[in-house]
Amino acid sequence: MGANGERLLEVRGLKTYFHTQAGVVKAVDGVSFDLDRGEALAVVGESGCGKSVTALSILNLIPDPPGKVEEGEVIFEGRNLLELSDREIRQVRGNHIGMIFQDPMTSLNPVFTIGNQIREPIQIHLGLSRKEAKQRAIELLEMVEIPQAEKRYKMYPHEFSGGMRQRAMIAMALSCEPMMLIADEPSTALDVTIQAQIMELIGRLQREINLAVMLITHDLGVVAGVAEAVLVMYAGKVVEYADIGRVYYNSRHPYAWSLMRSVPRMDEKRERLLTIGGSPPSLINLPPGCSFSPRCPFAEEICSEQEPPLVEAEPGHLSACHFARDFERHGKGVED
Amino acid sequence: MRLPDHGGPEDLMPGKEQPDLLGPEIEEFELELEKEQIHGRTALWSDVWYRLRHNKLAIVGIVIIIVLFLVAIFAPLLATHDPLYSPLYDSTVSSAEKAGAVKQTPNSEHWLGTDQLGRDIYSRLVHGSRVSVEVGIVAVLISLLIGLLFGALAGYFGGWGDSVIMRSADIFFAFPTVLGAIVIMTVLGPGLINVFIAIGVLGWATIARIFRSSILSVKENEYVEAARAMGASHARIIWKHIMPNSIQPIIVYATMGVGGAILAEAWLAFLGLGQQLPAPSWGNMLSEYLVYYTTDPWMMFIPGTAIVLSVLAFILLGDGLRDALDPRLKGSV
Amino acid sequence: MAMLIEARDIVKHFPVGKGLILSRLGGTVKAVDGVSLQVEEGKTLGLVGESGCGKSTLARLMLRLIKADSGEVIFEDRDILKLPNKDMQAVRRSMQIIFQDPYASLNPRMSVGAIVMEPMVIHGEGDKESRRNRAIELISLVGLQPEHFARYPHEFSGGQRQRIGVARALALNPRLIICDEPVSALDVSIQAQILNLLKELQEDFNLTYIFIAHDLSVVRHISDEVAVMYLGKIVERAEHDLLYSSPKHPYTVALMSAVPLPDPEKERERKRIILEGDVPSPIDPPSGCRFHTRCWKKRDICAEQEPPLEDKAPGHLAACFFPENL
Repeated sequence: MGANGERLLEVRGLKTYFHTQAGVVKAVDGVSFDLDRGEALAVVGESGCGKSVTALSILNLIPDPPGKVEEGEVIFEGRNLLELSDREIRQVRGNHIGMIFQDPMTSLNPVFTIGNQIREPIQIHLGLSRKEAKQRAIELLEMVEIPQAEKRYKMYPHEFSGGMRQRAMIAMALSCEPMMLIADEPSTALDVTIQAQIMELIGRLQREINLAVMLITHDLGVVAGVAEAVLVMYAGKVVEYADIGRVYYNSRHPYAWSLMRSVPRMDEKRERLLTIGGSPPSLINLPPGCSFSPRCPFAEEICSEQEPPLVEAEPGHLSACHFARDFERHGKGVED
Repeated sequence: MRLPDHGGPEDLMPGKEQPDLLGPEIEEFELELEKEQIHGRTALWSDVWYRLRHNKLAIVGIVIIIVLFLVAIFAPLLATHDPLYSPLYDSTVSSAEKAGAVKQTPNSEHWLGTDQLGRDIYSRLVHGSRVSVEVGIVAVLISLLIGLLFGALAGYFGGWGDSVIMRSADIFFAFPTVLGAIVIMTVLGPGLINVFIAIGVLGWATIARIFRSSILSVKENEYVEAARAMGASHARIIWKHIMPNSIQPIIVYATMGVGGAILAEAWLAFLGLGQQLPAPSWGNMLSEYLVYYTTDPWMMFIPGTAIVLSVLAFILLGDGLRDALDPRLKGSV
Repeated sequence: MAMLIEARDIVKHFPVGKGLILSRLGGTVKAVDGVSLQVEEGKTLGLVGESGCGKSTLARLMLRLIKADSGEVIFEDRDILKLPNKDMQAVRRSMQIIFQDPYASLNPRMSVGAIVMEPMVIHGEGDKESRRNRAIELISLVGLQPEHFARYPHEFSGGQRQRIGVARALALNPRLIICDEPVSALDVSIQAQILNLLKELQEDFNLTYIFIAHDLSVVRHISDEVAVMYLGKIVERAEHDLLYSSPKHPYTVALMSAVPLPDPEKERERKRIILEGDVPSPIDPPSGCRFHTRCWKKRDICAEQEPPLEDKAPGHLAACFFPENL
């Protein structure tokens, strides 16, 4: 939770709802977190937990209608991004915050060369000449470790492999030297060995050019080596927020706690995996009280009656569980 | 929180899922729409009806179509006069009366007036609706029969059969429907049955083509492979797995096709190739009344309006069905 | 224990391009290029490889859903690739498949009951009443409720759909089930449910699994033996514990190293082998050892000769001239 660094982004009480025929979908319901310069934050959760919508809300990319950012502040370098005009937010998107997605093919235009697509935003946003911009684009391709960058510059997206496309997307996102990169499941669609390459690259960029990274993922393993802080989301809300060591080794929320114990691991064989019963709930029809209570192994009466607030379970460790403060003892009990 | 007093941790977390907690709607808002598109997750008929019901234009179409069918079914009851009776050929009618009986404007006796032979236009219109409905249904059924069979063969089995079928479809495409129908009609001779055949035969190519491409995408689904792994026969796979999932565009096209067939019949009748006089059809009525467009233009507007309304109704319904069957396609076809 | 299924030197090359002329000019995708493996009754073989390695094609060849170019698949002591269609139909009762994508693998127009009963209908098993009872039994067995019988797939979540797929696969009491990445499309919290279910069913019904996966962590929990594929070939095959404790083929080593651990400290300390570049195209695979273009141990011989898949340690096959962990 980067207490020492210089604050870059502050998200406060963000609420993004979608108004649909079936009812109001509270995709993001009161999310707050901070990101410092050069910090890597992982936003972890399953599909439908609101992690992607959070990222899109930060950049004002929510399709309206049906979506709408109802409440909250997104303070980036002292400005509330939610109050910016279309023009201003486009400037932020291009120059200050880059974003990459799970499937790079949908974000690349198939009829232009990769080089063209990287060069153009540089020309527009940095006001460089065509030649200078081309030079810069090739440097970017080299920076993301695309071999034979000059030759690759002239190629089309379909001539690139999945991993190469994701690298090109990162180059494009970094073209205007942003301070922050939002990566939405950047490696999920890729093969394991390629996934490792991409995560390595993101980690290196974060360290070398002091890039703040917001990594969105469902995979607890992928971010373990890169992230410094972890925000765990469930059904549109933050359920746990702390530095990575605390969340992984000393979780104070039953969701993260059991998730950690249910994923198959490479380094050990368990006879049986711990399972979390049920499925993530419908955001239109949330269970009363704590949204996780119907699936929670430790749930008691209060859990289905009152919604637990996000409290400090220990210094620097937020958890939204009624039993956050004495969770450890009970957690151990179940584990043994 | 309680400590467990029984079993291992998995006992605390039974592997059962709560069926009512899931929400496919959420995925949509995680911008995972593509996921659905890839898997062709399609709505069931109740959802289709729900969306159709909320489409005003489609409802207008449905109402017109219901009226049209009711009129066609109950034509003899609804007609006020014999549609063929002409006072001009009635020896019991005096010459003076004959002169007054023709081309009457609408009145209480003849609701839509009388034509140049003094026949009741309303009754002719009511009886003429039967021709339109019959042509619409029979011709489209013929197109469907041929088109679905060849489309299924081409799409499911592929190979050289596919090439042969699709190239012959291309040949049929080259003919504009009416021109093609004229050619066929000159060979077969005029008459209502031949109109069915001509329009029906010409329509198969489009249906085959649509069905084929629909099958090609459906057949990639894993449930088709699952059926093959179970040992299902080709017939079963086509009938149970491919048909129900690839028929939607055909339903849309066939609905609009009924309108098209009604229009084509009108064309042929107008050219004297369809329903033969004196029996009424909207096409031959239009052709007869057009002669009087300078003196009595209202006459031709009556069958004309009927044709336009029914064709429009089928197009509106088809349009509504397309949106209802697949909301994603809205505005794209 | 007897082998339930054995594949011998299976080859499948797909022509690139369509039509008579193009398919001859364009070369072939060497999807599966001489693969042999066997699985004991009641055991699980994990088949691991990245996309394009041919693992899914191999599964379909063994089920005879695709015609193999050459090779044999011995199932219940008969070469099923040579059986006439009629006899094959009977064999299909005993071999089933569970698919990766729980959205695409269930016909959206059929109710859950109809889906689960379909194998019984196809094989003329029982009458309407008994099929219905069996389907309800199966639906409960996989952890769904009997009242789900009349519902449609779109009303279920991914995990529940996968359970329906499992129920369908079990309908005819098969001996072999090929699981083609059955959990990789599911949410993390759901994966363990399905893995545990598959394990329980295996114990209860003495099922034999071929479990396909793209990474080694899922396979670790379910397999007795593991085979690693790369570009249409098996590069390593061993007992589960042997493979994980001392991988021999550099590709396996890299693959193991690429799997992230949900453990920040271990992750940071770990020396990770990051493979360079992408998997080469299976249309024109590299000469010699197919892995040599990405291998950090390659020498001249690797590009010239193809290393045979042979015993590097007792019961531990690997296709490499310079294996690791000897």
